[in-house]
Amino acid sequence: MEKIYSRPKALQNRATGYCPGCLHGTTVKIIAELIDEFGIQDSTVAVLPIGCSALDCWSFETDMIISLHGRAPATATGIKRNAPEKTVIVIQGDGDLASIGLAEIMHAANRGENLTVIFMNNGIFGMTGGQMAPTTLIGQKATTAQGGRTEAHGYPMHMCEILNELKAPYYIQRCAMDSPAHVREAKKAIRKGLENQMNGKGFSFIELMSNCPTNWSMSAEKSIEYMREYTLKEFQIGVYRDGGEK
Amino acid sequence: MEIKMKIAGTGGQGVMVTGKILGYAASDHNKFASFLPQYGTQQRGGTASCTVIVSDKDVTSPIVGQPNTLMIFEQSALDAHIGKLKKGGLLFININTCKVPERDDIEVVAIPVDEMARAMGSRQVANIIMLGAFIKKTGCFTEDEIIETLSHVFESKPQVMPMNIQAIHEGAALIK
Amino acid sequence: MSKLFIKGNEAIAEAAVRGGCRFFAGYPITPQNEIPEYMSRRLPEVGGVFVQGESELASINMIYGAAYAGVSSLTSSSGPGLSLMAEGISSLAASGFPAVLVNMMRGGPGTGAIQGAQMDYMQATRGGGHGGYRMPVLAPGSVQEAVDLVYEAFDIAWKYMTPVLVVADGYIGSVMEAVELPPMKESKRKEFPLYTTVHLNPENPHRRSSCTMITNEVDHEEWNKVQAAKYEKMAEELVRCEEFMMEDAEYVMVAYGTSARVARNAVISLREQGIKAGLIRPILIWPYPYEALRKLDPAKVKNIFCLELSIPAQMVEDVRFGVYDRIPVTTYGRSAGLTFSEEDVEELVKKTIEGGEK
Repeated sequence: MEKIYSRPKALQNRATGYCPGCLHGTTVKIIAELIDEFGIQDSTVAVLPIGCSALDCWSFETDMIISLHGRAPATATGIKRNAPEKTVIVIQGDGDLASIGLAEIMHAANRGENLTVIFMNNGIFGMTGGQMAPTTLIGQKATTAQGGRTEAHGYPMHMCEILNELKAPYYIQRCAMDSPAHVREAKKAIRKGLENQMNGKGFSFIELMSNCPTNWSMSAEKSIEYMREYTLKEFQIGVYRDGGEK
Repeated sequence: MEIKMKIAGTGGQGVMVTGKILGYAASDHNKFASFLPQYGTQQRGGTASCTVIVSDKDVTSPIVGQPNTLMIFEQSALDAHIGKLKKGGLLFININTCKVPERDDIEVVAIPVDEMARAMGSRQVANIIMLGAFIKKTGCFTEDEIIETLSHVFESKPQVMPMNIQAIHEGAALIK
Repeated sequence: MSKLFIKGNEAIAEAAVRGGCRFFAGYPITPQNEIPEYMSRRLPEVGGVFVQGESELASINMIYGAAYAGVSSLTSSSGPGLSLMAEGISSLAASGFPAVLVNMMRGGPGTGAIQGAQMDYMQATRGGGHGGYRMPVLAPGSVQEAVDLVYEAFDIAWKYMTPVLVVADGYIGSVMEAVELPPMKESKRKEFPLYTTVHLNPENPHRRSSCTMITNEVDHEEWNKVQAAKYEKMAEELVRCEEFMMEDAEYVMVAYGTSARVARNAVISLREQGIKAGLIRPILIWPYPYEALRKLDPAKVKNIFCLELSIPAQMVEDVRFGVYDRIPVTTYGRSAGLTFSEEDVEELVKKTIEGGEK
């Protein structure tokens, strides 16, 4: 019988550790497929954050390092500057990147570090149990905003738009993981981000809008509906910058 | 010979440069030295002082509590340091800005360095005139030795050398 | 070999380059700014990389990445910056990553004073970060010794796979002295094996997987035991101190760094006046040279003086641990950027002698 699909070599043969219905598992899969596609398994370093994305350490069959909370872009800078032959993939969640790690992502972007950053945005602190993130929508419930986020807690932060104010970044795109078509688009964007790095183009930033059925207290289906009805209206998907041009 | 000195004045009077030149001179001419600057938080102006040791033997500690020599360019600096000068110590002062202090247990070398520098056409060499007098009085370096060191310090600005050489000689000539 | 009259901070930077350092990340703070300034122009000359981090947090994490990549790397800062780096240093230690850190100590606590001081003794010797790790702490007493120790620090870091901290008071950073520089060492990137790979990716041990949170408790404790054994080995092998005029000493000073230089002058002067003074100078403050204190004979030694550029006294805890209550210990120091002089120390000793004879 002809084998038409198998687990990517860059993916370990075990369960991901993500909750049922979480879209992070799909993300890990498409990144692993791309690593296979480019044949860079032995030269890839995944720089993982603190938060749910750190669970990627059970998934990637590549070199990796779990950095300190928020500091993945700095750790990745230290690796890439010293080992430029590696393909360094930085994966961060929204609490990690947009809250505690805001300075590190801004300055890595501003230096134009030759990195591919995958930003998993599900609007909440997942691993610690559903606290409000800088990306939580107004009105969206969190364990530290139990009646829903109010303006007193600030507004959702749009990282693609903020980074697009800087001169140095080469590529900025926001994608969503809610449908097969969007997943294909996301894979295309990540492919571009990796190509950019391998061609020495500089900083690529791909934001992936995702869900959190567990902490949003919804079924998987409901969380997808919520994304489409609210999240993707606040966070517009699209290419913000390609080839260094706004 | 062990000179344990403080050089002090206000920013811009060449306090640090004078101290460094003495350090480099020691290094150039087989003596031991340390140069320890004391800065304030201001980038410009304010008080400037440094501790310099020039010695025939290795410097044990760069910290000097009671100096045996003072080189002072400004009255406020003199007020701050004169009490610490050792009995029998040597005080070099810019007499254009400082009054001779009332201490009869020290030797004072008072030089109108600002006036002399103006007469030479450059306010900036006042500290070098003082340096000329200092080396002659203490005998720690010859005029030729300090000029050789100055030529290293000002390697990138050879045009300032004639004025500095003149300043060393004029300062030294004041010491009989 | 000819000597170079050079500022402490610049000498330290050059010694690091010659000791193999090829990556520097740091953030400006007085009184160590000449180190990053020097590195920014020097490292590219030897094929190294300089990055000015956006903060101390970023800088120490860049070092974390560079260490993972297998490069000898350096960061430098002063007290407040070291506090910000604490989590990163803890993680370097937890991961068993080699790196060299310089703390050019200033007055503290808080923002403190920009002038030199020895206010970070506890932070340096007790870890500074969380989790109970240990790292060697080298405490040079002159610019020449700073050069020699920074040069050696990279060897220690790689030998034991640990961060190494060099603590110098700001006076050592800002003083200019003549030094002899060591020869340039060859420096190659070396991707060392990682313990945590066994845990994260047991089927492919050739992968380099690094993580300081090991979720399997048994594996995690095993690693803690490996680390603890390393700390004990370092504590045994790295003790180093200088004993000056100690054979017949009755009045013993204990001091490190610039304090020890002042104390040495005081010892010489007191000896000239017929007072049998001596000096114990720790060259590493962790591990601490307790043996030098334990062997003191209470029948001979009348008083110990623990001298530091710090108020409150800090090192006295280690001194007391060495002498217990066998010999009286007097603490003395200045702080906030002020220093004490050899005359101050002499007066202290003489007063103690007079007091004892009454």
